[in-house]
Amino acid sequence: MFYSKLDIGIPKGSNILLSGPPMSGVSTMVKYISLDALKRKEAVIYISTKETGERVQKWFSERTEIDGLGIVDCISKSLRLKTNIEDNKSIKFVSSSVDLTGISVKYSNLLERFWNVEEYRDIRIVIDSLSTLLMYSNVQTVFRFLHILTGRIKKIEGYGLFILDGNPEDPQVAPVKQLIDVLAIIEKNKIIFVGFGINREYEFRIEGDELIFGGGR
Amino acid sequence: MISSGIPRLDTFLGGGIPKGKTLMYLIQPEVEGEIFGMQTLYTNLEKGVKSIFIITKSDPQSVKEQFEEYGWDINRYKDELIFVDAYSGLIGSKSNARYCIEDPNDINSYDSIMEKLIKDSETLITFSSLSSIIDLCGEEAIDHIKKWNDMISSHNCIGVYNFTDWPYPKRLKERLRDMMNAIVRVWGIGERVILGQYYGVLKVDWLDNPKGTLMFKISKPGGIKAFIPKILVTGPFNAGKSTFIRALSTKSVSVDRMGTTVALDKGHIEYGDITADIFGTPGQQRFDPILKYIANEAMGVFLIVDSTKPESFSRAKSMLEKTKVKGLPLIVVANKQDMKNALDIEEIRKKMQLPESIEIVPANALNKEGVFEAFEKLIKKIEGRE
Ligand SMILES: Nc1nc2c(ncn2[C@@H]2O[C@H](COP(=O)(O)OP(=O)(O)O)[C@@H](O)[C@H]2O)c(=O)[nH]1
Ligand SMILES: [Mg+2]
Repeated sequence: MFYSKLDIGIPKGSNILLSGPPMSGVSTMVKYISLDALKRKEAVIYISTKETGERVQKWFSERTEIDGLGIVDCISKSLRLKTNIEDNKSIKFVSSSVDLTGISVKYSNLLERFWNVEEYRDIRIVIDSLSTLLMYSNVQTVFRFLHILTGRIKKIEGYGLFILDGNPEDPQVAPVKQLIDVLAIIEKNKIIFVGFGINREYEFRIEGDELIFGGGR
Repeated sequence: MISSGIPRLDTFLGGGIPKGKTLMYLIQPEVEGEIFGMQTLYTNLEKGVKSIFIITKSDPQSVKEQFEEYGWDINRYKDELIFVDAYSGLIGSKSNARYCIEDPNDINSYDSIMEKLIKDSETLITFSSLSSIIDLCGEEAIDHIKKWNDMISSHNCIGVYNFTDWPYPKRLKERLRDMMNAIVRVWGIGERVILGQYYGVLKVDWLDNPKGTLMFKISKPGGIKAFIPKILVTGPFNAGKSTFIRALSTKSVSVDRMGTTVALDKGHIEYGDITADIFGTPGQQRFDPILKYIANEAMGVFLIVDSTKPESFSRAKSMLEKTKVKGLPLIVVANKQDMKNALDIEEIRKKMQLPESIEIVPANALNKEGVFEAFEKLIKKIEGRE
């Protein structure tokens, strides 16, 4: 299930690009969608390029149990906030957002843990954000990385949620869009889903600790 | 010839990497493979080989920390090791490396430094990630890599490349394969997610019929270790199976609860350049049906017998048959040799009617005597070295 309070049938194994202008709340929305999954005892692998793993972990731990949360932190090592940063069970570190090979190794480690050791069967992988990866590497390089990742998502019948801060129509992003099944565009308080013959628009708001969708059209 | 530093690989390469040759580690994405180049580099630094390390994805300080994760201190080799920093220029930060590529996006800016460095013969030149240079510079990079390879060969140096096998155009990969003297593929197995990792030789142009694959695991610290996923420990009740597993293991879990749960022992061994997972079977007759199940996919077996209890030997032998281990590498461990009524191994051989081809190792599992000898012997058998 993509989100428990949304009547939209996005099939498992889908890769979804969520985009919106800066400050539109895309990251927040994806966090709430991930939170919903954790509450349903599903696993979330969160690849973070903008916030430290510790902060991401804190956000979730203040709201629910985080047994199923794994984080790939692409920023702490390059910021050098601390020395001797070492991987632990839930947070894995890569040296920087340039290191796509490193990112692939670390999410794969977490997948092995969730799938094989802990036997989760519903796993989603979030990239927050694709825009950072595109800043550090050229689009062909990011495409090759996503090609492997989206293939993996299909194999495990999970969900891929990739955040793009900016315009999905940007020609620079075009190659990446070939790998995407559903496009979700956020504008002000509206979200439009396009793909799989779906074309639906919802209003959304955050109430208390929940993301509420309404007025599906 | 230099050592690759990777368990068993030198044997597969016919002794090591000859001077004037290049070797590429062809690494499947999502598999932790860049350690291969690092381990080759570090092994040779330790032996005093002059080395150059071209880094592309982080600065020299982070690279040092990466080595430290495996317990390798490269600060000790300041005289032997030269960094070429092809990262700092990318993010516009200052580098403290001796050589710095000004514009890592421009393949031409690598050339002059490579020409300067690939001069002294017998230098080991390691690329932390050739794929990232191709990512930055495009396909054009291939022609330059060819040129560097020729320089390496004519100056009697050695080139070692990590290359992540992203979905590049086919002809790019073919050209790259053609220009390397040796290729070692590093890949993962598993249907949905990667569960295990192997390496195998694909190409060695100085050998007639190159072959060899090995399952491996990565230890921190320690690096790449040959991995044996399942060794079975069987034997009658009270023979000392749990004690034996504990004696061998760096980590072990013993579930000695009876009742609904079956008593199972599990251990993880790290010894030399090998890691192995080891599993115990319950000794009582009522568990015999699960014996076969546990024996599945085992790569080798220890049969533990209590040397003071000849009356249990027939039970021991029947367990061997139950696990269908005939044909699997096997070591019989004659345990409790410290006790004064213990039979010696020749008496045990006679009483159990074991042929000479089956090796019996005397042991005292309580104080770890003989257990690692038994382990080494079993590993030799598993690897077909005996
Ligand atoms: N004297 C002596 N006692 C041992 C030795 N190995 C195991 N034991 C003892 O034999 C008993 C049974 O050992 P255990 O490992 O539980 O046997 P298991 O039933 O085969 O798992 C325990 O009391 C151990 O302490 C040994 O080499 N010498
Ligand atoms: Mg026991």
